[in-house]
Amino acid sequence: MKQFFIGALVLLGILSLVAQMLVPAPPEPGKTQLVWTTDPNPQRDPQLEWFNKRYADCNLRIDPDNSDSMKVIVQSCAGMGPDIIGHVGWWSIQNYHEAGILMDVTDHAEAMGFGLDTLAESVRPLTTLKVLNDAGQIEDRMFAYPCNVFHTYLIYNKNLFDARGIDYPPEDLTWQQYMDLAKQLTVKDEVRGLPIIFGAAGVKVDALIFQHGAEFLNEEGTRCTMDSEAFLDALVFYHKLFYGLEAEPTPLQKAGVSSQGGWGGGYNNWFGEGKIGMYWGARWMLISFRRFITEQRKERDIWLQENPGADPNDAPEVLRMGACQIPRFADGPRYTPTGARCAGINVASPNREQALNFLQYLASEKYSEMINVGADSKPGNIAYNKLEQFINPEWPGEEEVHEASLRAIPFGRARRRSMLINISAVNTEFSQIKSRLEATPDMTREMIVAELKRGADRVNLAIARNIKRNPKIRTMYEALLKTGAEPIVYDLEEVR
Amino acid sequence: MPRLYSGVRERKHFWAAMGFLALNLTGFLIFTFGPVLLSLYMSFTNWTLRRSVDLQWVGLRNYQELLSDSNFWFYLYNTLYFMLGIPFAVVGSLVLANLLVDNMLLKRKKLRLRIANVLIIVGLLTCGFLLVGGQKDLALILGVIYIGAAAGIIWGSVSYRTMLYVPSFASGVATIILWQQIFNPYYGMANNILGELLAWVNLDVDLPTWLNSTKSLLGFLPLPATFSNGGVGLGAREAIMIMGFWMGIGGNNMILYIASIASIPEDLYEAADIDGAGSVGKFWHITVPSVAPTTFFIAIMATIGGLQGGFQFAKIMTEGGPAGTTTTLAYYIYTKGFVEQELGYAAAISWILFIIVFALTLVNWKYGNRKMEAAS
Repeated sequence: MKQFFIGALVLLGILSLVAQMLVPAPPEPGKTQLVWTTDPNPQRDPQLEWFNKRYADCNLRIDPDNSDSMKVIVQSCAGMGPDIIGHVGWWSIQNYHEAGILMDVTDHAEAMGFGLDTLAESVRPLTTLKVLNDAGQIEDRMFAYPCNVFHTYLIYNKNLFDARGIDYPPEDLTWQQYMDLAKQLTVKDEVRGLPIIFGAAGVKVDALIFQHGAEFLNEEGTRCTMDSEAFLDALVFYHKLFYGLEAEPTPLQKAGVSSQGGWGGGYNNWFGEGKIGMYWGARWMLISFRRFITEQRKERDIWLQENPGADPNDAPEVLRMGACQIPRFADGPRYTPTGARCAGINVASPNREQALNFLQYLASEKYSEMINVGADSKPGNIAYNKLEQFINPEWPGEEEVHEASLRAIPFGRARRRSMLINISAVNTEFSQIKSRLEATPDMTREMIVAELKRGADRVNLAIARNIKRNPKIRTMYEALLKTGAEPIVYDLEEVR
Repeated sequence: MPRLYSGVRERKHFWAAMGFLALNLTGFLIFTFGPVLLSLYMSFTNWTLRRSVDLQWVGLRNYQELLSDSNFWFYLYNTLYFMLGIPFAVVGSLVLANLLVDNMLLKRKKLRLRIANVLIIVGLLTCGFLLVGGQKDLALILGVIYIGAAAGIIWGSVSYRTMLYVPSFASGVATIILWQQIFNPYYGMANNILGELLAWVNLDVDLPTWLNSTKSLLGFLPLPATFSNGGVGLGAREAIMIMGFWMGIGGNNMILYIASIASIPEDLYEAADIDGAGSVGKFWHITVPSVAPTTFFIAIMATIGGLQGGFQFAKIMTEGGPAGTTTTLAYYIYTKGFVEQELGYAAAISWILFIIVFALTLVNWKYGNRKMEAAS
């Protein structure tokens, strides 16, 4: 027994030594260690290298294990958070702000040259939040800067169009044309009736909602507008795309083909494998498609070597892409969903000043160049969103995709947020409705009306409760009313 | 009778014992008991990680809101629905344990090997013909049966116990992916077999779409619209129940039953033989009452596990869908707490869940104990 305990003690001693050796080395004297919670994307190495070279007094490293938003919030509240918070997105920015861990960088950004004027108009709302200033007025303040941004557009597989002798979609595509093309491109398995090539996939419900003139919240964020007639029309159309028009894979079809050989998981793989005609994409998808093209080129070369003298048209095809804008309704506006992966600064970080350098770096030419060359979507700084900057000579044939990506920028739009309710609550309600819609083939208009009314009512009640229960939110609401905002749906006296 | 810790030596032993326990006890108090008490307190507050919301005592507000929260009732219904599969799994475990308790083995090793070889050769031929004929699912099933039979001939019931226990220690994610394939509505084994069977009996009905369907066997109930009731049929819930049955039938419950059945005195069976009792009679009148304490234990543990379960399936297999039909209370607690950050509300759901578990355990205890005493 004594030997066992001594052995255990020795083992623990050895393990402690190993643990000690694994602790990251402290930065060199005179250098400030900065921690950025983000994913360990291969692009990070050159990004870190360049930052550390440019800001010689800093030593930036990534923390890929703690980038989950809940972890960031808990650790930051406990004083153990990162200096730079990665993955600040459309909804998480509000979570971080409400948790009180996101630094207001508006003034620093202006002074250091990475202010809102460096961003496209459609991207600005992704980095800002409405806040109440000391004078009791509502103003937009900047809390993050994009690491990269995307605008949705339509990528199509030219091989599939050519094989059927169909003209490529025009730049100004309408929904009617889109649906006709989707129908022509779809090929079904004759036995099971399951598509083996989907004409179109990846439709974004937000695009339909915006194009119908609807929104999730009213402009001031005092009311949920999911029960509006325009919103209803958008969802009815969305449902039809799945079940009436067959212009989008249903969940059942997705489940049916996703475990089959040659399909892989997710639309990116399906498109890369030539199973989707038109795909609602963004520039970052080029990273996957380039991998497919590399593999397909190899396969084609091998085939040509093995079949000398054979008709090259019979050789395995290599993906050829074209791109245009997402469809719009005839005479209607074209809005396209946009998003950004931003970085913000932990307000409790002792290295806030140095961390600001990082946001400045995100707006720099060098960082943007790395994003552009790697096709890791688009850089935030609009000055570096130009076709010549996007083109990578190693990847010819992508010009149309780059152009469409650039032309989509003015049409970009993201959902509204509210000062009175956390957007994740609205999102939860809508996700449930969307999930029911997608899973129910025989959903009627009346059923959708009931769902939307119930969802909107729950959000409106939550807004009222927030105002009633939280004095800070009540102050914001009063400030909103002074600006002429529409009052909330519920009578505050009647809300518990 | 000597008093406890009366002497110096006993007192010394007591403190020594406490010394050994102290580390564990401290850990338990800080990391388990403390948070449990804290969660009870927090369930009466508006606890959230948002600094814009000051922590306030809200009394029973979270609990009141819970009662009018249609999602809570929907997910509680789902949780209870999944628990309907538990009795089948428990009975299945008992039947399996009864079959596998004796290690029936032919005495001559050479004979065992010969029979096993014959089974493998016949199996290979049969499955080969079936595969060539395009019956891959039937070939797979028969292949497993032939291999199982051959293994049983060589190693006896130990091989079956091992095979049946495999799902308990296999990776959950791998198991889930396997079942997703089985329930593939177009190409999966479940529908292929069902399709063959229906064709055989000349029935022309739509095959279930399993994990994509909101139907359920209780779909005839007049459920509220928020319960995503897709009507009567086999849906995502049944698919998960079948998978749970497969995982549970040969797991720890079977091992517990084997141990319990092995300890039943042989005299009882011999006496029954003399009285002319058959296999079923012996099983019903001797085995079942004798393992009543084990059944009682399993019933309580299964009830607790069932009410707290479903998280893994919901998170990995279905994301709680379609339309929330596979979301259980455990998954709801997670989403409320860690997605919507309503920690006080999530704590209240946890305590309601605890009350339900506690109440059902008490019912089990009261009636289960009574039956157990009657049986023994």
